[in-house]
Amino acid sequence: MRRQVFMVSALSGALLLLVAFSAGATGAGEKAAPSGGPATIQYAYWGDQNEEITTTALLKTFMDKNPNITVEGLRFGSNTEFDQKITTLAAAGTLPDVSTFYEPNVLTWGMSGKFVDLTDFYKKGPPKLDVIKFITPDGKIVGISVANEIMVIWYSKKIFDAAGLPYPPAEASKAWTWDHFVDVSKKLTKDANGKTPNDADFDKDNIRTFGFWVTQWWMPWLTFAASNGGGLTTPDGKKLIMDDPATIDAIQKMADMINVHHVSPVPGSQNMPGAIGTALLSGQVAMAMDGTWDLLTLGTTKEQQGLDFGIGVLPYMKKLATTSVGTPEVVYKSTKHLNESLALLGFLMDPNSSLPLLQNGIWLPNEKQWYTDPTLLQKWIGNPRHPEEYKTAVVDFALNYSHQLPLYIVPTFAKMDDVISAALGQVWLGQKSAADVIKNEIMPKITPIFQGK
Amino acid sequence: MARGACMPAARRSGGPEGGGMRRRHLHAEALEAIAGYLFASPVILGLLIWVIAPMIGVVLISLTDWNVLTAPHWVGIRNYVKLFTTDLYFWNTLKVTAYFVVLNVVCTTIYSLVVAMLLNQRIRGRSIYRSIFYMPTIVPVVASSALWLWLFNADFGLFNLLLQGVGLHKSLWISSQTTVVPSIVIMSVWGGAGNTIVIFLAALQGVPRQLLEAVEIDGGNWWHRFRAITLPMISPVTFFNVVTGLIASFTIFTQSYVMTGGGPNNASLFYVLLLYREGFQRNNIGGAAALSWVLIVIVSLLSLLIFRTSRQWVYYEGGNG
Repeated sequence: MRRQVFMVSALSGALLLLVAFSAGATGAGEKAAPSGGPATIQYAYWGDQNEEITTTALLKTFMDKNPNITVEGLRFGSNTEFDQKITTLAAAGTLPDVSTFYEPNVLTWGMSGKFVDLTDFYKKGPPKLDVIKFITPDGKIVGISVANEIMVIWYSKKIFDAAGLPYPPAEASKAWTWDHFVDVSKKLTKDANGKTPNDADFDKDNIRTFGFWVTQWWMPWLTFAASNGGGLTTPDGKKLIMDDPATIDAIQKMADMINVHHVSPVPGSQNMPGAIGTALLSGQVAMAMDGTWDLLTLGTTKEQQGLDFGIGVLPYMKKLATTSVGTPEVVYKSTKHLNESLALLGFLMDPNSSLPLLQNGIWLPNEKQWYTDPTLLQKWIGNPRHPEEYKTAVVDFALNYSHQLPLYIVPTFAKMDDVISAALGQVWLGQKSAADVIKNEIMPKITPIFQGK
Repeated sequence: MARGACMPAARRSGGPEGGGMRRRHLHAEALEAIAGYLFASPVILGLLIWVIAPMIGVVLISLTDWNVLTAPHWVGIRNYVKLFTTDLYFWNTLKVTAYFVVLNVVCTTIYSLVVAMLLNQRIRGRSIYRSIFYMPTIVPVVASSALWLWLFNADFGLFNLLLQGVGLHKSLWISSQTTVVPSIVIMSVWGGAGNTIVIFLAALQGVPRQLLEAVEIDGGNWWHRFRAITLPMISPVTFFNVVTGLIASFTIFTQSYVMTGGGPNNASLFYVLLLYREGFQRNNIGGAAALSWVLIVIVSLLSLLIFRTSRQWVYYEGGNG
């Protein structure tokens, strides 16, 4: 009996040791294939079922044009799911060859040498927009957004008509000042009795229509900070200017929309499913600041439910500004088929390949000439989905006034944003002033992070 | 040479004499033992490979600075030290999670017991009511989180509409630091009480009727029955529910992940959410591993504490209560 017990324990112990050691080892890489011959590469991306259909069709077009390359598509449900799963794949050593990537982590991965340096690759071909290039501190381009998206004002024409007010301007030259914007928002905000914040008996606990709505993530406040001459960092990403009076002022002005002027809903209210289209259609919101990707949803809501919406340029505080964002495409250094992967990258980054997505309104192109050349313009905005004012309110606005977000050049952005987003919650709720929170709570925490400690 | 040396009960490593009979006995027992181990091996192997080995792996990882992108380096207990000293979120997370755990366990236990006692009555449609109360447990948490987001919406949500309808003040629900954890507790009690109710119900039905009648005869009312008979009789089950509720509550994640993202101002940044973020979004797998082992230690200590105090308030039938 002792012998059996000993034998089984020894066996289990050996197995345990074996498993424990192999648990730390990384797995094998991709399948090797002779270069020049047929190659199989994997392209990972995120999106819903509709995007899966579009992407699969796109990959098929690529494969038809390149018969000796097979592309396997790997879809994830959302960008955060992608972020989690790609980490797991990295640990297992089974990364794809090409993929989209979750923006906040592009630079950390790039600096760890996970991505191919694409600087030379992008020297060929038509120039891409400068504001959407992911550049590591040592100057390597590790990814470029496949699409461009800016922030604009979406508004309900019905509410403006009912109030007898002129629509938000669609041209940068006619953009509203911030004060005028606040004024208009107040006129459009109505409580259950139809009173506006300008009326004495306005009931701020019973607002039925909000003049202005924006979600409190980093893109809106960074946009208005840029408009006010501030920001998180200087444009070269070398110095923190979060506590610059211009930045503090911009954030305070945004918070005042909620707590002083009562024209915006409480934060967290925006996490409603079906967000912007429903809000505009149901009259809960007159104007919303959100990304140009909404054209797909709003366009569909217009066609199916008759939402009459318009697009306007953003109001400005000191200078005209909007910001750009867009999902990047990256190539992994661990790929066994670099040439084939670069071929796929070139194909995906070509606006001609994403023409359906440009036409249905969800994307803007990543090349400068598509904003200026009339023939190319006609290709993607010459359809009913894109309203008349799109050319001036979006295309020209993006080309001339878009600022680069720190996300593209500051590797510690995500970690700093954890602190900033959390602390600013108090400002949006009106519990503390922006100056207090930024100077006393945010700066002491993000300064060591920024310096890499 | 004694015959006793050949008896199966005595395991003597003896010499060759009398070995024939001993070998026959040992052979039979050896077969039986091997068969036993073989039958148990799937579970044993499963435990070793998928539970114990990864746990050891996580300990090893927590002693490195691995960020998944580059090779890990040994750093000893630095991750643990960092957690307790310089980490920006750890202490807040502990506080917030502890708040949720206490509130959730207390509310779930009381609510489940009350509902179980109500469901224990002889009323018509009793089984239908039981199903209704159990149903929320099978709704996927992600889906219900999306729905509760709407319910909790401060401006247009159903709850505030109802509150205003009866003339009460609106609440900010998950939009405010002070009300976010109670709001998530409400949602968690709704979704998690089903299991506890069913278990309490079973326990209540095991309370001997003659004891309850004895109290009635002595002139006691429902409160005396409850306090003197029911509570002590179901105390083993209460104990079980509290311990399992405690362990489960510490792993709260989905609600804050889907609805609040940890906010406002980290007021709902629960322990597992922080762990997830550190490990899978901030590439700090070493730190996340350290977090997970600290959690195991905390939960184990708390469970031990409850086990120790259980002697005061848990009564086992025919036992040492």
